[in-house]
Amino acid sequence: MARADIFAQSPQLARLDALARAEVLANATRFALDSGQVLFRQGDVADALYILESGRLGIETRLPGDDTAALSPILPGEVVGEFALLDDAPRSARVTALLPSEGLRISRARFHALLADAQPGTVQLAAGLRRLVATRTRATLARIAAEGRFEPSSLRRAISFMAKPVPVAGDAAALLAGLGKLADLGPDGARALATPSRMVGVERGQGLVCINDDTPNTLWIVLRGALRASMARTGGAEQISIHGPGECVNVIALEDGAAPSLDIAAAEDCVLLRVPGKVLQPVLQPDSTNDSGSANDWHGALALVLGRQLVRDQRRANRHLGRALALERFNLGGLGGHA
Amino acid sequence: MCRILSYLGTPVLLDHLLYAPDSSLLNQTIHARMLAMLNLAGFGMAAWDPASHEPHAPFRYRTTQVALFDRNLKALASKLQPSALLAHIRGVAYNSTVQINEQNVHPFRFDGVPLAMAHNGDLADFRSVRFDLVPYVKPEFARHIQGSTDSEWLYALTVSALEDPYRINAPEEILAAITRALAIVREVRRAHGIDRSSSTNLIFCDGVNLVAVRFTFDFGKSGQAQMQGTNEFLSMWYSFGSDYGLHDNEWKLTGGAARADSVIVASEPLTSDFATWIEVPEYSALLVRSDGARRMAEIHALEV
Repeated sequence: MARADIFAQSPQLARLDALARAEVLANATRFALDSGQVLFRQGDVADALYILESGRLGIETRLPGDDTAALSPILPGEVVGEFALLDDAPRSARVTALLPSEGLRISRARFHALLADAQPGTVQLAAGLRRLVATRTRATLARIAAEGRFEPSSLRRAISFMAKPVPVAGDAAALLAGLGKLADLGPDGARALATPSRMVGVERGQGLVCINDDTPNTLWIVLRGALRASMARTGGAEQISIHGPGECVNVIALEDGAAPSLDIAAAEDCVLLRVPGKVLQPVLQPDSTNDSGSANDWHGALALVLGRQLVRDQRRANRHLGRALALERFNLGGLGGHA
Repeated sequence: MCRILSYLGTPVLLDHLLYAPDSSLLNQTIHARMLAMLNLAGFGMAAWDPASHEPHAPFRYRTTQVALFDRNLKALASKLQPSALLAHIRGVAYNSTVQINEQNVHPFRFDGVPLAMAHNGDLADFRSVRFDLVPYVKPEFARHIQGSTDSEWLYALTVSALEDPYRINAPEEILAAITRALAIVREVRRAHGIDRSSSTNLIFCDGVNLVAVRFTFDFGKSGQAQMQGTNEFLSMWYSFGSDYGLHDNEWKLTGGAARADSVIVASEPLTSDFATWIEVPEYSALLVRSDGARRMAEIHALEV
């Protein structure tokens, strides 16, 4: 595959404009693997993203009992290792070349240096990677929904969406600035984000976001308390994740413009920041004409925060699926009955 | 803030759980990976060995010493092969108001009661509410409370809520008693206007069954945003398989989930590579039951 075509194969990266493509290509290096060679292992330090030009890569994750589970292979035009550029946790899977493979490598260090300079192509690449993670999380959630491996004992009470958030008085910027997960924003960014936003309270058990909402135009940031993301099932709600202080909720829907990916309800009495979607537009859909200079430094900081949240959401969805798969094998497989 | 380790399965050398892995329980004394705290305020364990005299009664060992330096424990660990274990290292606030004594070392287990318990977390303002809990503790257990921890009261409330605490109870019965105990604590906290985040990760084991609870009252509510254990739900992980040991230079359970006969539940994985470990979900309980040589595991929602 010619290098110029590589972006066309990925729906998320195809939206990069010509300037952005040129910037990414100029800052990438090449990698090549023989069949059977390992690209990276689960637990390795995540130092780069890879875009496959030719060949095929296999992804394998480990499960309890030293089992492994193979995930969908990576085909030419697809990206692997994208978490490395969005958060700083170790690799979550092992990737091996199933065929002789080559492509582009973008190092985490280079990516973050360019991002710190608000280089427009890299800012667009970051947005593309966030959309990619959002898409992959949707796919994982769709699989969880379709396979229905939940245990009835694990279901929560069904959510009531009757209640409405109530306004809360206070200094939202000060609360934002005190949250470790939002430290990138700094005091100025916290103030810029808090100014067009509103603080609201939601009581424990109340529903906030419904998967059937068709206008996902609000970002919720947890300031105090916790939110629960779940999937409606016959007999109750299947909890997928808990979001505590400093976490952003509804990011997937804001990134891809589709309906909310999960129902959201208050796991505890909450104080939330309600951020209008329009405030996020320069972050969600940057282009090379955006003013991404110093006046809007907090946009870059918020982009980092959203990227980390998307990775966190995907890790949790994967973990939930892995837990269900492993427990099912455990309970159906004989469990020492062989002894 | 403490760390807990529990095991239920085929007999395993104690040393392989307490010492050998790179992030073993005792290594977590000074280098816990998922808790920014030292755990220096004591070590305790209950370990059930089917080959021992009165196998239903556990070996017990409690010390306020830093167990890393305890040669007696090291020597015992190289001999004992329990089929069930509940072990705990205690972490406390770094100030002189804390009481470091044997009575406060986990796990707790009253005479004649098979069930033992260890706690990771703490209840905010516990000293101001504890006497409101007295009506819910059976007198026969109230007189056994010797320490000053919230943990011992949580244990006393739970065993008081069991219909028959002197027998081996089914995991569902244990979970129902835990739920009852947590509901009492929630009500007493409410009466005192306490709504500060309070972690209550608990592991109960009687040598036959195991119930692990990952729970926090009022999670995310604290006046001190950066306080450890308030903005992050305290961790709890588990892994299962068979033949726990050093395989391919890695401490792990092997054999696949379908052949699993052993379960490890801990505050955090025992190895820095935690690829074969899974988190217990927040506000949930993991129930592990023994049925002869078989083990069954279930996740239960915990709504209190």
